[in-house]
Amino acid sequence: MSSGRGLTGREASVPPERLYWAVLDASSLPRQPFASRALWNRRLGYLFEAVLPVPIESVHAVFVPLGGGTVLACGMERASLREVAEGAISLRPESLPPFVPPTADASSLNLLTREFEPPAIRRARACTTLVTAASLVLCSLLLVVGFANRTRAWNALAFDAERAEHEAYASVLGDATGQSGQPAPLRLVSELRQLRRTRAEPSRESRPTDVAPDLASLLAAWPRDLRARTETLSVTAAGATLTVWLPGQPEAERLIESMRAAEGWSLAQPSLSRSSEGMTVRLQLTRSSTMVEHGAVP
Amino acid sequence: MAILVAAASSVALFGLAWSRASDAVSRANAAALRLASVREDADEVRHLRAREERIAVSERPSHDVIARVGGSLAEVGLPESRLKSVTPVSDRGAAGSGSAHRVQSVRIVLEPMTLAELGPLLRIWRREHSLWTTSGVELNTASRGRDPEEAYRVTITVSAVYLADAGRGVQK
Repeated sequence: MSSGRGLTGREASVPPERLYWAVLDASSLPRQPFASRALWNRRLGYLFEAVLPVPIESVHAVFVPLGGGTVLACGMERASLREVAEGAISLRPESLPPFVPPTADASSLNLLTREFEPPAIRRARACTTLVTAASLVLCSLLLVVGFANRTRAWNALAFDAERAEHEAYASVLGDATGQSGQPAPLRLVSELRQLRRTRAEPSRESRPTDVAPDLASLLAAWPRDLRARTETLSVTAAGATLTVWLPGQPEAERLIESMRAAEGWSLAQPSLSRSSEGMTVRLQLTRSSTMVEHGAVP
Repeated sequence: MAILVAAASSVALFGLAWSRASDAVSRANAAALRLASVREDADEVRHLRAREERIAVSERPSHDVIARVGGSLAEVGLPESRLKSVTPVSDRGAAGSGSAHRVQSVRIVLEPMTLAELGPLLRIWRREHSLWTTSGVELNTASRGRDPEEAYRVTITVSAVYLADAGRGVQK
């Protein structure tokens, strides 16, 4: 005979009269989710012992749940079992006694378990266990190697990015630490803040008035070929003041008219003083509201 | 039991590898984000450095102005001896900017200068020293002659805006 798993050996059976039978009420036994099967069997063994004519230690028992908290117990004296089991790979009752509920299956009862388990089955199970464990470890190793490769790649990416970051700092800050001893990120932020503040155009209110274009516009309005000598010329944010010597009245009037026409300026009443050598004209100009700043200078 | 040990070992190995991979991914992501941010900041720093300084970091000393005037005179082709004096005039809080900015003004006296020399000098000054705005120009005849091309004593007032909190350093 042979088993379905390729094991060679005898599949033996015994008449039910040679076995001890009982239907046990196991509903009173404590159910512990993580309790071992051996402990469960020992507890059932104590229940079974109550109906046995011999001590439980001399009987090898197997248990099959029947449902509803009942368990079918089947036992055989150890000495007899050793004789019957010799060379067999399984030992089952030929049939079930009549008091056993019909839901029980005689083929599910195998008495060659635990210490009576045949060496061939034990070896086969050990082999299966080993192959399963080895497969598990191998799969894990493959996964670990895959992760290790990925990790190496990501670390390389991080390293490259960190090196590029250092290069970026060095490209704008020069040496790595700097004289201040501050870390590069702080130095970069500090420099950026300072640059943002110093490269921005000052507000119109805080920016000083540039008078160079005003001077240019005044000189652009100056009449050509006018014989005159500018004694003082002052241009400030408030306006412009000129003191000019001219040889006579016509030259003075020409200058006044030209300054009156100067773009962006309003001329106040001129002040004239005569002398034996000519005339001195004092002109005061203020910016008109429509004056537009332009880029030309004298 | 062997399967349990194998499973436990596998789980432990897998957990370790997963943890290391997860750390590596986090590190790589963080490094990439930092790099992008640093590159952006570095580009902005380069861009801003290329622009002219419009507001000084701190109050500028007089010798800075002397050096600038000397450079501009040389560029126009005038001797440095035309520069007679550089005098600080005022240092006040800038209008309309709260306490953020201050304005310092310096008076530069040049003599002798003709109008033909003054024009190019002011043009160069405006082009190259935009930090210093020409806030006042005063011309006085240096002598009582009648020559229209005669030389003047030129007083130029230049003003620069600087950060009012320069002494406190840059705050993060």
